[in-house]
Amino acid sequence: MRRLLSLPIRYKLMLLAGFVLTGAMLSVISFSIFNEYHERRYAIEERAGMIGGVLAANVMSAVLFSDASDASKTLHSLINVPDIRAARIMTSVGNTLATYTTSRHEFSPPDWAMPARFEIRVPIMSENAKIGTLFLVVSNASLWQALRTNAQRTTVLMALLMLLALAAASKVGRYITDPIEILAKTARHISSTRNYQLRVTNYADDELGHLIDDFNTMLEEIELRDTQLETNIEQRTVQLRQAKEQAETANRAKSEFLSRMSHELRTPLNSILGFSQVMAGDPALDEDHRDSTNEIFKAGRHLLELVNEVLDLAKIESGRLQLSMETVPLEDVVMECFALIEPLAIKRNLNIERPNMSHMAVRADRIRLKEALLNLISNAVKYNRDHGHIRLSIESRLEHRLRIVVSDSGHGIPEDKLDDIFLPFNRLNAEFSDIEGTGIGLTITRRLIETMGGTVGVHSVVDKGSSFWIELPASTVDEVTQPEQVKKRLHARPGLQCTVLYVEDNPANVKLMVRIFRSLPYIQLITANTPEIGLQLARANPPALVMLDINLPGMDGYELLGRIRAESWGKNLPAIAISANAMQCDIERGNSAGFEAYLTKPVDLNQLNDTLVGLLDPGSMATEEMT
Amino acid sequence: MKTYLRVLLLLFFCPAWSLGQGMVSESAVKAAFIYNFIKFVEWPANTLPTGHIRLCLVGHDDKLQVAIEQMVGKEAQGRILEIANVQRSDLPGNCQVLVISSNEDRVAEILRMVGEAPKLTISDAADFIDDHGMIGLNSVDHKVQFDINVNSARRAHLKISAQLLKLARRVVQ
Repeated sequence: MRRLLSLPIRYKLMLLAGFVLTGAMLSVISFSIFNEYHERRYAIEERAGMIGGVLAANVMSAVLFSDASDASKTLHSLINVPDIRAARIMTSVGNTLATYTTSRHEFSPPDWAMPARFEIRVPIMSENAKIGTLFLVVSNASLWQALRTNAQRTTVLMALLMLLALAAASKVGRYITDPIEILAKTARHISSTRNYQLRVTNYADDELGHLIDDFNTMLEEIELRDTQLETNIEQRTVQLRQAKEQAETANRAKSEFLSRMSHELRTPLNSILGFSQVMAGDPALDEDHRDSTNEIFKAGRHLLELVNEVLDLAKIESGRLQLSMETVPLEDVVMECFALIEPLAIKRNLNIERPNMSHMAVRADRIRLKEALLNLISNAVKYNRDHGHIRLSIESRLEHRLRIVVSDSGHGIPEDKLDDIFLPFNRLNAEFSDIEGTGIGLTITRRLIETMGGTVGVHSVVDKGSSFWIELPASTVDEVTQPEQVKKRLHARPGLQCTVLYVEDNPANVKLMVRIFRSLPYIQLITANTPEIGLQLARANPPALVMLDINLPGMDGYELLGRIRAESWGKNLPAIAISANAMQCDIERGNSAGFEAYLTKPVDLNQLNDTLVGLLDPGSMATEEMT
Repeated sequence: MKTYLRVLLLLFFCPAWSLGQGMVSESAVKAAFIYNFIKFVEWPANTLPTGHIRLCLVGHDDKLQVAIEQMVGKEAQGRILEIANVQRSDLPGNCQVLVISSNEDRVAEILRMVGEAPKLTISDAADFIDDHGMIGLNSVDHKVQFDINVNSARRAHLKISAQLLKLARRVVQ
């Protein structure tokens, strides 16, 4: 049935015609044979009956007079009638008067399956009385012969007709299937090549013709729609390109504005900061003026921080932040952060708890992680209550991640405000308090950590405290690269008051350095973000030491060092190069150029500590374990 | 009816009319023949009475008379068969079939008396047809046969059927 269904329509039509014709042919042949059999049978019977009647009349006298020889003679006249194979005359009492046969077996019982002969009986009458019976055995041979011939002729004729009809069906089928085939072929071609310009030629006005017309109309519509669609797409593309160009132009303008603003703002701010520090360091200044100068310095520093952080945020949001991902041992970073925070914590009598974090490391950008962590820890200090505590803990999380939790014992944050604290400039009314802050620290922290593939979160209970956490992919610490556990810091020596000038254009590095030096109260750090400002500041108040970045705008670190060495106060001034160029050739060039030390970024706190101590006070280098 | 059946039985049980078996007497066979002869003879129009055919027996043959009397009441030519015993003086008499027994010595005289009247003459006398009798019966080896003189019949305006003629041993035209 499946094979039949998958036959082409033309063959199905031919099959149908074949079945119908065969049925019709068989019916006609059977009917004709049946008809002819009956007609011929009737004719034979009639003829035999007539012959029998004549014979019966002729043998009547012989029967009456029991003349067997005459009866036999009369029966023998049947020899001229080949259909009648045998005859017998029986008297009324059952005696056989005479018989006639053409062969011996003519009286064998009739074969009903294929009756070759049949028997008829004719009464022999005399004076209205039956005096005997004439039996005739009539052969059907001629009947069957005629039927056979007829059947053969009819079959041959019907077969010829059937062939003709099949040929006609095939021809007519072509009229139906050819258009369908063309239609199907075109549809297949169109669906594979998507060429909607093709059309099917129509040559008939029947249903198939209409189908082809409709198909062509559909194709026209699709083509039209395609053209419209293409036009639309082109228009949209042009519009989109224009919009994109506008957006890019706007973005470029914004970036340009931000960088220009930051530069424009930071240049005067550096002057303000630098000179206010220089002024504060003047021993001739009286107490009132010193306080005022300090206020100018603090306000300026706050403004600089704000500018730097806004710039940072803009950088992060525009995706221009460049990160160098590496394995960062947690111990180092945490130690460095706490080293920076410790003086403030001590001032507020805060108790600090932290676990052993050796062998724990995460995958992150070292400087940016430190910035984020420092942000959380300094928040914990700033928003804590006096005599409170800060606890740092590390938790292992699913999917091989580490969570660094910084908990404080501050006032906590109401739950409905928790979502807002990561939004920029949202300080939860802290702006009305005396706590210093920019309001975008947490925003930057979250963006930084997310850019590094981590997450930041908070849990807080009002009046009990808050827990901020950073979650980052864990990494394994390479034992060899693990830095020494010995921590050093400058020995606090009253009376030694010195100034260090740091020339660095990168605000993040400046910020970090400022934090580092906040823990060294006897060293006054003056920062400059351009070489020119640096030179001016140094001329106004020669420092005890300079730290120079190598890649500076306008003039590189080597040139700046050359200028400093050209000044009278700068001939023997200790100079430290701080650069991201960490190649051996860079370090050698730095040493040969006259730098006393060459430190590579990121700056290792201990190394910086040692270098500073060595350069500032070579005689009194002291080491002690950090708590 | 009983008689009729018996005659039929007689007819059909002896296919060749062989009397050797002694079942049926020669007279009975002759009587049956006489009765059958009537069926094959055509009388001139209006010479047959309606309702019956009269058979007259001349001479004294008791056996034949008894046998013929068995046929009385049977039908032939759509008429009932009757029998009458007649004397020579009564001839030609009112009968359509005249049977002359073989012991009658004046056969020729009787035939002359009948003349050309439409009467079928039958006899078992020897050479009956040569004496211008119409149907002569004779038995050879107990087998009854008959001869026909068509000429005599024609003269009496009687037609004898060809069916009967073909069964005759001898036919005189």
